[in-house]
Amino acid sequence: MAMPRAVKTTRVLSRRHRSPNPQTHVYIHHLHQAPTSTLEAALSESTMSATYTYTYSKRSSNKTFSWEVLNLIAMKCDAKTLATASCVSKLWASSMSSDHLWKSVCTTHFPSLSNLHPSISYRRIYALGLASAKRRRQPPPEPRLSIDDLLFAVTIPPGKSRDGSITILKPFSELENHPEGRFRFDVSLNDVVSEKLMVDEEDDGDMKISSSIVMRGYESVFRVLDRKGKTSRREWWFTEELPSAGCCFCNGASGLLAEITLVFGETVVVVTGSGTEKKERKKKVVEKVRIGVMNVVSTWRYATVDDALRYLQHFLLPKPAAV
Amino acid sequence: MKKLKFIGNPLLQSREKINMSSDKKWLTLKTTEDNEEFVVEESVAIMSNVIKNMVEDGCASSVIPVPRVKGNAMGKIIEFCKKHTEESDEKVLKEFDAEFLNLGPDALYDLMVSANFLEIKVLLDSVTTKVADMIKGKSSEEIRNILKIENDLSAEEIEESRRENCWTRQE
Repeated sequence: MAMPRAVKTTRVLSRRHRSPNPQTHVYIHHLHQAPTSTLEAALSESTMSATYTYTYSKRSSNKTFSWEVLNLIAMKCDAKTLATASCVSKLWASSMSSDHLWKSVCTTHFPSLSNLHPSISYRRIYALGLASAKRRRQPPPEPRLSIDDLLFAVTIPPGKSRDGSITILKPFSELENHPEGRFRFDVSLNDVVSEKLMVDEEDDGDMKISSSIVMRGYESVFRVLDRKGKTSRREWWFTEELPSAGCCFCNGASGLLAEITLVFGETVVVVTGSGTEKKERKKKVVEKVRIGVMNVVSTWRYATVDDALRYLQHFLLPKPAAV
Repeated sequence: MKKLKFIGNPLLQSREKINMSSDKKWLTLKTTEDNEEFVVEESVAIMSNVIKNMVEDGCASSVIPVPRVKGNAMGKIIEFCKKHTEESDEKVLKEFDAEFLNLGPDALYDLMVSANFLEIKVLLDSVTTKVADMIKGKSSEEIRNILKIENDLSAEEIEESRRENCWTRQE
């Protein structure tokens, strides 16, 4: 007996709407056509461009899963399974790509994207959402600078306790690094200057320090800071906000803070004069000079060495040629 | 029609067969495909919405013909419904289901079709979840092997579907 042609709707028909003839069932099935690669082409296609028809006989074959059954299975599957299952066979491809399945997946994971455009299939929107999430998670590229290429320079001006200024120039590789790979380096003054560097708190309170980071071979220099600082018993620190690197916006801050610290060690008593004009003054000996770059946007923490290098490369490396 | 009528036999009589020995009512379900008969308690049989509606409408006669369901599938369904009406402990039922659904793809398919037709929600949910779990995380080739499906996609269709779905692999 010849089976009449049949087509099926995307809504799963409830059993109550059976056709008057119980021998065969008549359905209408509309599908969203698989979208093409460009957005413009996808927008220009109509949504109901493919119509699949098949016959559903009373004695359906054992070996082939019917559309109804596939729909029931598909409702339990997650997005990844649906996508892989679409590659199994023709029938599976049409069932698993059905938009009503993808609509619920899409609105669960990407509710804001779900109403993007009426003629883009939900499956496509889901793929877009996934690609966008992945891209946001991508880490920044490796810095093109290495810490071994850089030298630290700091100048401590003359003060009441000494005549000449002291300049320290040392490669970062020889400095003591804060643990955890953060950008904080210390230079011990014992290694650098022969005599002790002493400061007198009352007299030297206005001291102005300047510091730079120099590229090996003197190809370029980045001025870190040049200013007066704040004092406390154990340390004097000098900070300056670093300018934005220019890649994102012009006049904003970079969110980074440069910090130079003089760390004191022992306190010595210096006696000047003789006889009745003896004066005893307490002076502090500078044990270390420290440079650090801090991230001050959400948490006040030292930036990682890689982050600081990525920042410095904008100023120290030649600009890449415009493509 | 305000309620679902069981389609298959237009000559249903509105008389129920009552068991002589107890208060329980018994129904005979006959699969019309292979003419097997199953006698079940009404309380077990009404797990199927279809049969339940028939009974409530008073259309259930002594023998209820059930088309499209095979004999062995029917047997399995009755076993399932019996267990679920007897037991109420969730844990025991879960273990039973796991054991019960340890079947090949053909048998699972038959069960699914039958449960869908007879509208037995609990069974249908269990079987579909089981099949969905079987295909989760597998490649399309593996799915074809497990469920014994023929690959009828043309070369270009394969290429197109691969392109469309390549984002699954990039995770």
